[in-house]
Amino acid sequence: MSTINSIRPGQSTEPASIPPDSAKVDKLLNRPPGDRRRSRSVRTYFSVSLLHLVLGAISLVMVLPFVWMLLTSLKPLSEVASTDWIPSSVDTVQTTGVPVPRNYVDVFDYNNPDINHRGIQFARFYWNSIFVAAWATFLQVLTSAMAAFSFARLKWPGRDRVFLLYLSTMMLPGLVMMIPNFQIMISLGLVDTFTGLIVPAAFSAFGTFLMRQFMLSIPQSLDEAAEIDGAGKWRLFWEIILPLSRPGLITLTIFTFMGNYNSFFWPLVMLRSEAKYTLPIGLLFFDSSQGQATHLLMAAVTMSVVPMIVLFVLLQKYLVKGIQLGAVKG
Amino acid sequence: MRTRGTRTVRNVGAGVAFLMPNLLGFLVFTLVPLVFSMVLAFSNWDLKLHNQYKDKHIQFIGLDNFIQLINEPNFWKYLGNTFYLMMLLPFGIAASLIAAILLSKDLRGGSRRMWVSLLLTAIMVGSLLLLLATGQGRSGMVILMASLVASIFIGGAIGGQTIYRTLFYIPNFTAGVATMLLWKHLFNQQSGPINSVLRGPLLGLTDVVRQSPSTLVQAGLWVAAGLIALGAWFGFRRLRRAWADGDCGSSAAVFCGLFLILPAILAVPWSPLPRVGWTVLAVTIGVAIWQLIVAFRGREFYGRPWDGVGSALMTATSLMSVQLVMLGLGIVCYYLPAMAAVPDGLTPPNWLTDYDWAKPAMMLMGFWGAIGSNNMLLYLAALTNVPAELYEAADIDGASRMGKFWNITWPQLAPTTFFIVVMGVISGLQGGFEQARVMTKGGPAGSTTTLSYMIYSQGFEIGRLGYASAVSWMLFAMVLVITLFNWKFGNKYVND
Amino acid sequence: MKYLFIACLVVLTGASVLTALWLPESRSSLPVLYWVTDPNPARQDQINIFKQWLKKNGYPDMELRVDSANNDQSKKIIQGVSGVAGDIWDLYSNGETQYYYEIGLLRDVTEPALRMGFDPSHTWKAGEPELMATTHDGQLRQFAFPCNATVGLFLVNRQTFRDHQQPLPPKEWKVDEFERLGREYVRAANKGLPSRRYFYADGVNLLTWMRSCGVGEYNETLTRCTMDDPRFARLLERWKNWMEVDHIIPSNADLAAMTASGGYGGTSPQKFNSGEYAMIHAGRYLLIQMRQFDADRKKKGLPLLDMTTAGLPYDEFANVTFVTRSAAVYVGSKHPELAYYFLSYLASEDYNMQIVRDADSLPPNPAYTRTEAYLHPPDHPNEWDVHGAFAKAAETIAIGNSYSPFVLRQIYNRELDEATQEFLTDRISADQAVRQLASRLNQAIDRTLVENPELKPLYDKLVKDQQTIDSLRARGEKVPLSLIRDPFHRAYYQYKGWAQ
Repeated sequence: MSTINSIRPGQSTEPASIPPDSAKVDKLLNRPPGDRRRSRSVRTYFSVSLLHLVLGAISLVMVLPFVWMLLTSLKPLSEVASTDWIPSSVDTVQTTGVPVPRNYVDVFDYNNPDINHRGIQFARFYWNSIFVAAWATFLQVLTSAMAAFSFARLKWPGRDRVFLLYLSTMMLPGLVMMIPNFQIMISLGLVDTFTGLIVPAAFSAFGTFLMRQFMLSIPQSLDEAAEIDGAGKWRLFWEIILPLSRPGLITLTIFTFMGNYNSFFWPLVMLRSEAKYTLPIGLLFFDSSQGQATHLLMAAVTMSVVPMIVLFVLLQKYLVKGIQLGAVKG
Repeated sequence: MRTRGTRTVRNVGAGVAFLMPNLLGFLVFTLVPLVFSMVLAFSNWDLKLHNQYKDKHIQFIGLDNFIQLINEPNFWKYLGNTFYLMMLLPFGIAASLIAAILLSKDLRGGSRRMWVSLLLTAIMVGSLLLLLATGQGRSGMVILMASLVASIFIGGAIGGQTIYRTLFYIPNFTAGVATMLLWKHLFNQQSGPINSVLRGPLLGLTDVVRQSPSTLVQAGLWVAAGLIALGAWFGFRRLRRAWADGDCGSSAAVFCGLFLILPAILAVPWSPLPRVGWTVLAVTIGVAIWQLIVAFRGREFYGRPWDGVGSALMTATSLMSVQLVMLGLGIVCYYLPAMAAVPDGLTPPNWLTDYDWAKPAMMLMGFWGAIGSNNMLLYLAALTNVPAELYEAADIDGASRMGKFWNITWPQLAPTTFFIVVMGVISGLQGGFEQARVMTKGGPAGSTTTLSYMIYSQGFEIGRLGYASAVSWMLFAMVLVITLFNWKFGNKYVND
Repeated sequence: MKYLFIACLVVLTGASVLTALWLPESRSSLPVLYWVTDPNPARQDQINIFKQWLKKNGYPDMELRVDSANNDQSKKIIQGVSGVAGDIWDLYSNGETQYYYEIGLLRDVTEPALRMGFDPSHTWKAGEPELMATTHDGQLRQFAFPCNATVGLFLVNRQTFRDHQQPLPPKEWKVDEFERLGREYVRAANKGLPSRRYFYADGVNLLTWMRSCGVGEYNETLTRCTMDDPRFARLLERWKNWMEVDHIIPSNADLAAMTASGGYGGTSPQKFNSGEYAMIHAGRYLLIQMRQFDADRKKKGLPLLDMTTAGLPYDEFANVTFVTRSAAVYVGSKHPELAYYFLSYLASEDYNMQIVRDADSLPPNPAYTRTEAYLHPPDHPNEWDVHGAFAKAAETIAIGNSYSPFVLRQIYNRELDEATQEFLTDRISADQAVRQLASRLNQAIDRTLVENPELKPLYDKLVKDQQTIDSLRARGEKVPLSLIRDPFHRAYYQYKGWAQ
């Protein structure tokens, strides 16, 4: 940490002790040009290969649990405990002419008490999860973008103070508000409704923060140009700022969708009717003490994880671009 | 800056209008509950007293809830569990930083030729692996692994960072009940793949331990003691240099130094051989005194007493976590011969059902997700913002890789690290509910019950709403102290 | 961008309409009642019989639906106080009756029970603690009626004993004999095996055993925890030895190492079926699972399970613990009068005989355990030695749970679990464990009184009763039973001849 000094504003970035014409540079310059290029390319080759090796090894660790999950989801129950990951044979069922692994059909078949003794309505949970997450994401992205626009592109007295208030609530443990929020839901009569899941998720300080930081990075001159063209704030927002904030919007969309799709505590507390259950709550049924259907559980887990992976692979290139943490203080 | 009055007015109107939807939600679902819960924390609201069907008076009872809380042994136990699980934080952040650095490197070697040769190598290695596996008639498992490795390499060579980034991020992306249920089965003592992988090596280790003289194995304790002392020396030296450079105030340095002595102090009661504990303590204190003596030679820059305590604390606590792990490993070494002597030999742990292993199991799962977490994304984004000129200048100076990291990358990433630490502490303090609920129900014997689970069970199972609110405000107070602390001392780079 | 958002809105609105249409039609021409219970296929059967029973008796028709997703305690509380819970709740022997009464979530059914024939006289005597809650003025009021009742005995697989040439366990035995026979059995059965595989039993019931030593969880008036008794500490040590040294019963590690595949009741029945457990601690309900095994065995041409029972080993006072699954009416139910019909149905012959046929533990009304259909089910001759024993134990030596109105059962469960687990993992000694348990429960009692001062008069009265009892006992005089609240002490005093 001692050397952090060196990049502080107003100080030299070059430590004084090392002369600019170091021995290393000398050595490089003394070599014949062709020789240098080859040795450098060989060195690059090996260092890049090593990098691949390291990254590949870590990737393997990341992927292995999922590989096990996928393979187990294809096994019959009797083989689940086996140390061999590979199912001896995959039982399939013809569904509209396509062979589908039996477990993946059985998960949806809630009329078959032999396999799915409790009548788990998996298709419903699946739909509910996506439905709730989609609504919450839509609303949150919209409200956050609007609020961020107000914080980043409009000037009004007290703006920064209000923003600081927003920011500081990000530091509140969500649990503090859980019990009062539940009481509010009771008094609004929203317990056991989808609305009760969606509405509290439609506002977020984090989303506002993320979008504001992104919008700050858009040149201010655009606003003035738009104003000269006679565009109002409304048009400025929809036609200039929002399209330019696309990476930020996509990042927020991913984060919000992910958060709501995986949300556990709130639906657990709020939902009563099984028909309204979301996946995280519904999955617990497969893990009940009576009858562990591990093979079905893994099929269900695989299917609940897949939409996230697809979403991620499609949108991942925007993710890094969308994060403009900037100066936290703004 | 606009000066004409009408525009400002229009801006106020528009500003409020755009803010309104979010602000309303903010008021209803954040501010009101916040005040409400504050009030609750000082009341005796218990569902047994008051609810829709019961209307006895709720009273304000002042600080009673908090006094009760402090006197409750379980609260301290659960707080301890929470902190224990938070020890993952430095490791997780370090891992995500390393991952981000690796993932921001150029993987194609700069030229098309290089890329082609890399791809060819990957294909060659991959097919060689596959050929070896199939040719030797290995089991399906081996072939599966070989093809997995091969496809990762080839994919990596073709797709470059995109592939690796995706693979790294997937655990975090899918985090939630589904992955927890997956890990619950991975951890299964008998049928879980983790233990079936561990079983073989452990049996091998059993043989090794049985055949080698027990004193040799037990010497591991001494090695660990040495590493603890070494860690302390490294830490003290870093603190001293930071102090000398004016990056770290005197009080901050001393305060953080105490963390580095802590493992040595703990080694005294924990170590099975008292003399090891005392030795390591003596050496550590000796090192500390030595560094103090060196420090008396004076310093180049001066700062206020508590300057830079944030970053110093981060270094110190991270080192402390490593030292504690060393201590644990050393103690394990000491008991290893006795453990291997039982008829079954060394057996893999009962991860989630064993009092001592349940928390490490959860941390293992957390670490898996932490490598490619959002933190990694934040670091990736921040790394692209580090000005390339800084590295070029350092290259001319002939700075080493480590030097470049410590002198350029790390300070440039300081604001991001600060943000990550703050958010990590917040989520760490209120974390653990989902794992506990899905994987262990807070057990065995409360060993995985964290404060958030305590809030849930006090509020929603026992019905003490006021008391549960008091717990959550206690939590909030801790978050606030840590954050303010960070804000005041840790973010001087953020302010600059 | 604007159009993108509008398109999203349109799609989402469409999805909302679809979702609303897809939600199951909850409207019905009949009043709908929800029954919060466990996901058991037999519930549908019971509902069908209920409908027929309503029709047969000319009672008003209604629609009863199973709600199996909300059958855990915290969900009942959350939904109960929000006013959205199901109409009829299954309560388990976990102090739920008293606790929900305290929160005010249950409807007092004392009057309707007398009117409609489901008062406590229609069920087992030992079931009282499950049906009744103590009000703050010390009265007992009825809030529930059993759906079924359970006492635990050892279910014995005779074939396993023949295989290992070991003597069958006696119908009644003391702890020493259990230990001696168990050691011999385990030694003989695991001879020559590389690791332990055969256990004498899957576990023992600590509460029953503790009570058999004359130690109760609370004192006679339920005002103090009395588990800090050296007899309980010795018992814990012995229990641990059975797991760690003798391996008569599996330890936690052994249990975790067993692969759990599907099935009702967890691993135990399967290990019993396969002979790895010679006996399992079971209620009659496990016969449901045994019948499935038997069906499998028939298919494979194997002999049926050869079953009998053995009593639980005891120290000086033979007893079994009596538990129930009971139904209660939610205070927020819109149709309480209709819900009473359901409770009344639970006392009817139609329902009782369904339980008898299904072997879903003991029927609520003991009278039906004296029928031939109960004792000798024609399809299951291998069970003929079993049914009678459960009914007899429930009628003669069963004791209900002790629920103190001053200790939440959740706290009791948590502290008991922590104390025993900490003891089993060598963190604390047995003596420390029992002291920790008792002191924490006594703290919980004190705290309840501070939090809920209304309970204070009841507590003071009971403490006075306790002093009376203590002084009578000190003088060697007999104690009037009416002073004793704790079900264990009632039984124990009668057994010892200390009661008037």
